[in-house]
Amino acid sequence: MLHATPLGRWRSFLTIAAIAVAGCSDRSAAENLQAPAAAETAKGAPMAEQKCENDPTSRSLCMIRMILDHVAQDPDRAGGGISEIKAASSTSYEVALPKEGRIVHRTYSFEVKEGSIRMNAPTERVESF
Amino acid sequence: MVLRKRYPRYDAFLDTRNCSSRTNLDLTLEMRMGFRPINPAGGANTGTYNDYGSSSGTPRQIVKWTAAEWNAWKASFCSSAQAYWDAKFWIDNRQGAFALKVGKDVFIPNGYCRFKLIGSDASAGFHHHIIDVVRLAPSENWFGSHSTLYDSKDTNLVPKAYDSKGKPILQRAHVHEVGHLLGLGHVAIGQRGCPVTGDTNASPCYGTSDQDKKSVMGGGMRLDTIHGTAWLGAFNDFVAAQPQSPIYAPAPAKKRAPQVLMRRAYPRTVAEFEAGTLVTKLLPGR
Ligand SMILES: [Zn+2]
Repeated sequence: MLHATPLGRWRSFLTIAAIAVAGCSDRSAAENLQAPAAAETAKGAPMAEQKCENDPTSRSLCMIRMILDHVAQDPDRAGGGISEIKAASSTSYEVALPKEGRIVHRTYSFEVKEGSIRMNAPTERVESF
Repeated sequence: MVLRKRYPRYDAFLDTRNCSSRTNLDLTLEMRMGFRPINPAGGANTGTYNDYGSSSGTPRQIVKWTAAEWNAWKASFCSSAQAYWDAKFWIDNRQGAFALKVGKDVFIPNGYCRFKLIGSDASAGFHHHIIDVVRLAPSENWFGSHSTLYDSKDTNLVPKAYDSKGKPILQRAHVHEVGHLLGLGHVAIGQRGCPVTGDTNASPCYGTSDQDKKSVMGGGMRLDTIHGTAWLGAFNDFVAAQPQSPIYAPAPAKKRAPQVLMRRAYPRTVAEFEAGTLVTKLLPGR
C-alpha cells in the first residue's frame, strides 16, 4: 500500500491518528492527488481506525464520525463549512467543502473488516467557479 | 509629462510633473470597477442566492439592498481596497529613464506606485471589471464568492486559513480579489501540488507553508514585492516606449532590470545611479 506522494504535513496527521481514533491533518494536495500517509501506513500506522458494529447504520455512523473529526482537525478548514456528505459507495463518502471561488470535493474511503473500519488517506478534486 | 497606457485590467499613468531631487515620479494604476446589486427575486425584501451563483451551490439568505447601504458598501469597498494597495511599492528605476535637470544637476527618479480604485454602478460608464454583489442577511457569515461575484461581507476580516500552530490567518477577501484583478495569481502556483498547467484554485495553491498562507494571495494580508508586478510591467512598458532622453542616456552596461521595492528610494544623481546606489535616506541639501 505504498503511495508516492507523502507531504510532510501528513506525517503529523499520522502521528496524531495513531493516538486518536479519528486522525487529523490538513487536506491532501491538488486535484486527485492521493492524500499522502502511505509510507507510514506501510510501516503499520493506520490513518484512523475505529471499532464498529457490523450493521450498515453503525458503519455509516462510524465513517461519518471519522470524516467529521478529520474535517474538524483540518488546518485549512476555513471556508463555507460542509455543504454535502454523500455516500459514493458502501465504503466511501464524498464530502463537499465550499471555499472562496471553489468547492473542494474530498473522497474518503474505508477498509471494512469484521468489527472495525479503517480510513484511508482521502483524495481531493477541486471544482472552480 | 503624463503618459497613459491602457491595459485590459486597468489604465496606467506615469506622471513626472512633481519630480524633483527628492520626489519620485508617480506611477498610478487606475482601476474602474462596475458593481451590480443582486437582490432577492420578485422584488422581495429577503430571499436566497446560491454560492457561486450556481444551481449546485448552497442557498444563502440575502437581503434587498437599500440605496444607502449600496452606496455605503461601494464606498467602503473602494476606499479600503485602495488604501491596501496604494503607496506600498516603489520601482527601482535601474534603466535610468525619465531623468530631469534640477539646476545643474541631473536626477533619475524612481517610481512611486499608486493605486486608484474607482467604483460605480455597472449600469453607466466604462469599467475594467463588472462585479455582482449580494447583500447577506445578518444571520449569514459566509457566501461562496468568486472573481465576478462578491458578497457584502467580503470586506470583513475573517479566518481564511490556519497556521501550523492552529492559529487563524485572517484576510479581507476583497483585497485578495483586487490582487487577482491586478493580474496576480495565488501564492504557491508552480509549487508542489499546484502546477502552473493545472487548476490554480486547488487548495495547495493558497500555500501550504505558514509563510505562503499569510500572503495576500494566500489566505492572509501580507504584501511582498512580487505583488508589485503590475506596476513593474507598466513601468517597463513606459520605458520601452520612451525616446532616448536628451538629459541623460546611460550606457547599456549601466542599465539593469527595474525591480520592485517595498521601501522608498529617493531620486539618484547620475553618479549614484551609475554606482548602483539606492538612496533610502534623504541626504542633506537634497
Ligand atoms: Zn484567489
